[in-house]
Amino acid sequence: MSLLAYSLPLVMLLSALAVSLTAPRLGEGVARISVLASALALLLAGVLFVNQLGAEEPRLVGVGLTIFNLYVDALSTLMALLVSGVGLVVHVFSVRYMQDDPGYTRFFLLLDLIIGVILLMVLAGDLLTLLLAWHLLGVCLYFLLSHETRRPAATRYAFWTLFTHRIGDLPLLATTGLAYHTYGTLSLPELFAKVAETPDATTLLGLPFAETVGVLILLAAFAKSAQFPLHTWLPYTMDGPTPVSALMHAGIVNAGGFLINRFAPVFVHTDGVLLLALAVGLVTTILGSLMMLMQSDIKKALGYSTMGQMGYMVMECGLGAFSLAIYHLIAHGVFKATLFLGSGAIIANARKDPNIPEGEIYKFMVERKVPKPPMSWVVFAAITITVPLLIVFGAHQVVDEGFLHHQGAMILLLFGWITGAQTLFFVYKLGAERPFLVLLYVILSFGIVILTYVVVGHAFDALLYPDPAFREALYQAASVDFTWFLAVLLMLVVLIAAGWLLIFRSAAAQEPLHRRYRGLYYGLYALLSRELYIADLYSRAGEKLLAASRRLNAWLRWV
Amino acid sequence: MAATTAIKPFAERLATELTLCDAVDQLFGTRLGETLNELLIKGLMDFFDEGQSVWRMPGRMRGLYRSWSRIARRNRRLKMRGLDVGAILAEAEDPESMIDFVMTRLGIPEPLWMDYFALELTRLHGWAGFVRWRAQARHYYWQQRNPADLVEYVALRLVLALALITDAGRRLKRDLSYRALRDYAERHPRECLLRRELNAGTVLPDYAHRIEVTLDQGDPGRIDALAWEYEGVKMTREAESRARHLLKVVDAAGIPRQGLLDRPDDSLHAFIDAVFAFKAREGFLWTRGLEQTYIERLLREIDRAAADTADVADERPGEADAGGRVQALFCIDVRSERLRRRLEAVGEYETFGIAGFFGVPVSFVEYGKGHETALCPAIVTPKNVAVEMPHKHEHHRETLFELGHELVHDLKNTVLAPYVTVEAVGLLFGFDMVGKTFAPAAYNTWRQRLESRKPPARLLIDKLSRGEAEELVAHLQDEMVIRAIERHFGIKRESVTSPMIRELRETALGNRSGPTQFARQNDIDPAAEAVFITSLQVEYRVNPNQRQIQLEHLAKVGFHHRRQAQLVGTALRAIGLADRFARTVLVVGHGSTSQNNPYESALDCGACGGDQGLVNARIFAAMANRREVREVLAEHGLRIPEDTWFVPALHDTTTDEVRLFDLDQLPPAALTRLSRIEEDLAAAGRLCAMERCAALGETGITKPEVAARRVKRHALDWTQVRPEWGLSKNASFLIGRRALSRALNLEGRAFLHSYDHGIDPDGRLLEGILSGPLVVAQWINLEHYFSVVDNEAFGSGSKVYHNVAGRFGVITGNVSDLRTGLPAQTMLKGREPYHEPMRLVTVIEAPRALVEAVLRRLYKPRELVRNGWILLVVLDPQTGQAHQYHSGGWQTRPIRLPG
Repeated sequence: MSLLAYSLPLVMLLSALAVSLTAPRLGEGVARISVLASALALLLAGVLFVNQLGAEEPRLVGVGLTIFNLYVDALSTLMALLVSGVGLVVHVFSVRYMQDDPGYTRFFLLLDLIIGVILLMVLAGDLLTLLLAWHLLGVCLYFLLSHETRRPAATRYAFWTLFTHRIGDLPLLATTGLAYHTYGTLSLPELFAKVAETPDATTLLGLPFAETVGVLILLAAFAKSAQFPLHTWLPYTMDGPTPVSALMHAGIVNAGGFLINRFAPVFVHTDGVLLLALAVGLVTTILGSLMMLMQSDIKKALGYSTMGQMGYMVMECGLGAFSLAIYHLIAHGVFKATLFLGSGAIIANARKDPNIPEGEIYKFMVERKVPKPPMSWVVFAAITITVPLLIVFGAHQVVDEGFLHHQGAMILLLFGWITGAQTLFFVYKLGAERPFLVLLYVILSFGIVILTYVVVGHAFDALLYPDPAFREALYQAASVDFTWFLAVLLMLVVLIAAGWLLIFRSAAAQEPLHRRYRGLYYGLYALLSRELYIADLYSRAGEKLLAASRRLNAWLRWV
Repeated sequence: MAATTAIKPFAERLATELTLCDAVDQLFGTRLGETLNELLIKGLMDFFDEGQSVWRMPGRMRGLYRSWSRIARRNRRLKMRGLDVGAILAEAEDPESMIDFVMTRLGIPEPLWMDYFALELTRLHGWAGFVRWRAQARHYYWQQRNPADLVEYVALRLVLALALITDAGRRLKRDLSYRALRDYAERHPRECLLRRELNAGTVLPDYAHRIEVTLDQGDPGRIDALAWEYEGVKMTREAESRARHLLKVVDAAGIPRQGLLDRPDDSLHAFIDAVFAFKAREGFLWTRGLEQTYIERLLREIDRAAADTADVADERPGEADAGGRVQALFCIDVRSERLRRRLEAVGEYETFGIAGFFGVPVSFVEYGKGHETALCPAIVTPKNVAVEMPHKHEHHRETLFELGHELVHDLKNTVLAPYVTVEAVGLLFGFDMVGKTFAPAAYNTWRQRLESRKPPARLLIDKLSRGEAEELVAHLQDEMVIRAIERHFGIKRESVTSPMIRELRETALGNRSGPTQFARQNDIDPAAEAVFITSLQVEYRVNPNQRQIQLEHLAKVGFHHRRQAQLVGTALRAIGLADRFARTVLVVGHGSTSQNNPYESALDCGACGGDQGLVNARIFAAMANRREVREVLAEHGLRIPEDTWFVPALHDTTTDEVRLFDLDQLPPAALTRLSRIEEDLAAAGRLCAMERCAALGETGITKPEVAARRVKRHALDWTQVRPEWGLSKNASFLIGRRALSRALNLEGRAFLHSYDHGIDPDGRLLEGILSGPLVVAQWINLEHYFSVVDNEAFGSGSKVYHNVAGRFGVITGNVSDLRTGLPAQTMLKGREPYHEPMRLVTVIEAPRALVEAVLRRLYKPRELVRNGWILLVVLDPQTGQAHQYHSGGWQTRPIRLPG
């Protein structure tokens, strides 16, 4: 068993070695070694995962050192399965996609290396291994992003990534130190056991251990998962080759979600820390989508969309829905990797549907468009607002009535509600011949989708956190004062409903909202089109730093 | 020769070779040029976006400059970047006066302005080129909606430049105007030299630190001393490296070193200088070598083939019986050559080359799209419209799959809905990810089945008479009335009579008034009736204005049958197909299939404006099959036999498959011949696939079927960055009878236009070929030429880093110039160029006097020949001589031509 766990990262690392040794002789033929290794890794991960499903207890396997211990549990095997699966797809994709690239063999070497490092990270059983992999991940990523050595811009933007990831290493380093200082152990399961025994232990400066480590872990996760305001590196990674972006968005940026889950046994004993994740995640979610909507190139739009999705993932953690965050990062990984790999098809789509209004001849001769029957927007708005609410709450009620008692769940349901309403709004805008029939279809399929989604969510709960008491405790750790919460919830519900009414009314009157609030619109646009000036702030700070170091250099007469 | 004298003094380069931003960057190590480009590109991408962003730049209809400045003005809070764009924008209202203001403020002397604008325009040549193209593309929808031109573009650049320079001046505490910089450069040439060396990255590494420290200390004496020393060292090192290079050259050439080293210094200097002076011209020498080798080989092969066929004369396939024989019209595209050669080898096919729009310039309104697309070379503006009409007027129904697709797309593009959407359907994308990666052919074929297919549709290409148009409009209005009645009153068609409908229509059009029969019969009170009539007029658009608009638009539709005859006749005569028609004439347009490929239109038909050639083929065939057209043609001496049928087809240039179209419009007798033709085409296609696989470097191809499967996979594979080589390696353009090239293997490198000078005594047909197809072919040739000589600058670099911007163009990475030309994957194989950089070798089979006469009449082709953009070879069948044009004169040699 331990052999199986070790062989997983080792296969990829050895493959990297083999690629580097045979590259001069095989040239582009090295891809075969690489693909074979990643297929093997996927197979091993599959076996490991199935094995873990059968075995109940998580295991720590080691080689008798403080470092290089692996922790085999549901979380690590599931993540290993995702990473090796995406890894295989990216490998196979790159075989032809990267053909004739001057750095072909280097690319495969780095690809193997980075997947090996991620596998090591998800399987890490002690803090040193975790820290090592966490650190190397950023380094490998830097080299992959600056793969194009002829373009200075590639290196410059890759440096942003490297820098932010280094910032993210510091809190993890601090965590390692604190854990050793407080409990005298670096092994993860041992640490978690000790935290459970003495949850109120204090550490340096009398700080409570659980809360301190919780905050540190969150900070580390924020940097890797591009949370506001440490997000700028992510949308600006597009100077790397397309397959790297796919791998990154499916298997690297979500490392934050994994890390938070890994430390769930610590978060259980924290109080109020998860609120930070909630706040940062929510802000990132909203800013991410806003800026995604404004991008005029496909890759940066996908980058910002990932930022939002990562925000949502962190927010789910902040709400105590840890296993949902894992589900989210898997679903999103598959989704986003596919979109990245296929991003060249935009031109084909644009040729098929160029967004140009129909000509007069066409409208009248070919389409013979009959005007839409006047639909009452009030009726539609009422359906839009109430039906999804009923479905979303109903679905959760059917599967697990206890779920609704968690505050976190309520917030997630709000998102579900908005999504459902958006779906129905889509039907309204579509203005189909028989709107109510389409509406019925949509409501039905929405119901089914939500139901399966709820079922899957619960399956993940059962898989990752089989102990209901623990799950309950996680939700509790994320809760706030009830009256307060109720007030906020009610306000949100009213706000959202009012928002929908406004949107429907302006759609019915065919008067877009941005025309009514023109000044505000321009101001917001200008603000967001400079991406909130965060990139500008960064580069200004960078320039200042460089200038200062230059002066220091000259003053100290180095070189 | 001193290394530094090769570069003009800094002061002189200012504003002629360097913009002020460049100059400041080189002197003070700022990054103004880069920052300017980044800020500008961001604005341009927002403005030119054609639907990528959901939240679009507001106010774009006011034009580039105005909409951009409205946003930029609100950026005033951005003081931390120090860019007070708002203050600058307040100085002038329109772009012209803004340019004037900035140039004056920068202090650039007026005589230098034009040079300076040119400099600014070359800094991002992709974007500048796009703006220039758009400004003149009056029919481009986005230009009509969001206008932009180069003046605005330059104004934007200058505003940003001024803001950046002002800010840099404040930070460096220097005056950075033109005058001040020039004074500085003139007064401190040595300091300038050091600064330039340090910041432009050409500094000797071991001196970098000393120079930096010395410059920072700012002691003029020490700076001068260092510069003096540095210049000497740099010159020595450069001389050494040149000498070493010379030794290498000498060794490679096998000249004994000692003989060279014994020479006096002067002559060695002269040697070294000569070698380096030659370096600049070396590339072009190779190009000329390639070209001349190609010409020699081509002429030799034509000559030899003529000799061979002379021995076995009188066995031309054209003389066989008309029934077995098939004629086929192909595009001049180099990729047609392979298929034509293979097809001719497989059976009795006579093929012709013609520009892929078949001489029919047309705006096409596709069913399901609804806007006009110009299908013709970019030099022509079509006047006629062809409309695709479905056989049945059903409401176009989307499949559930498509509806779901659209819904997910819609949900993705909102602020709060993408998250639950991803959780709900994200995993379904795994099908695409796995299927497209591991089994592209099978998966994509299966997926295409999920998408709704276009219903069978025909092309409306005949001009309607006024009467017909009126009848059509009336008919469509009646249809509206029927639907309106059903919707408003729930009364079905069976209880309404035609006169009632007509009466309602006329009432709505205002041709009559008073209560209608319909209202009386159904007890509708006058008020309700009036409401209904108004509804007809407003909602259903049955009103006199609308009728007039509809009639006007209808007038653009279709071609008059005399015009059709003229188009068909000209095209057929131009390729020398004026008699001996076979019973089946294929009209083969071409297009490509590839996945995930932003450059897919570069693989389609250049003669159809980068679209597929099928529609033009269908229109041409439909015209040529029309009885009235044939009657008119016969009047003019072009007799097409009654049992001859034109059949449109599409040649997929990625897979070399050919599909026939519009078979439902053929008589049964003609249909019987087609199955054999389809088999022949398939066989020829498989043979082409073999050739193609060899060119693509595929291994393990043993049989034609294997090759066919492999190329099919290329067409459907989303990981494939090189689905086909496209027009790479194009080298020549042959204008003449097919007999000239029939026995030759031109390896898919030649454009072939059929032409028979025998039926063109006054050169009118040749004129058409030279002014249209030749010019387009030359564009294509030049696009490839420049893309391969410097792929990063003129081509678009590697596809691996490409990022589609605004749904219309490609940039590299996060922010870059709009990429022009073709990507590395089409131009290079490994690190070696695959396309050979050659100017288009144009071979015309015609009397020299005729060619000269035609060229005298045509400005553009004449200039292309004269200025050496085209290498012209005339094969004169009357004298049996080949004439190659060479700087104003002709070089002549004898050649045998096929009879």
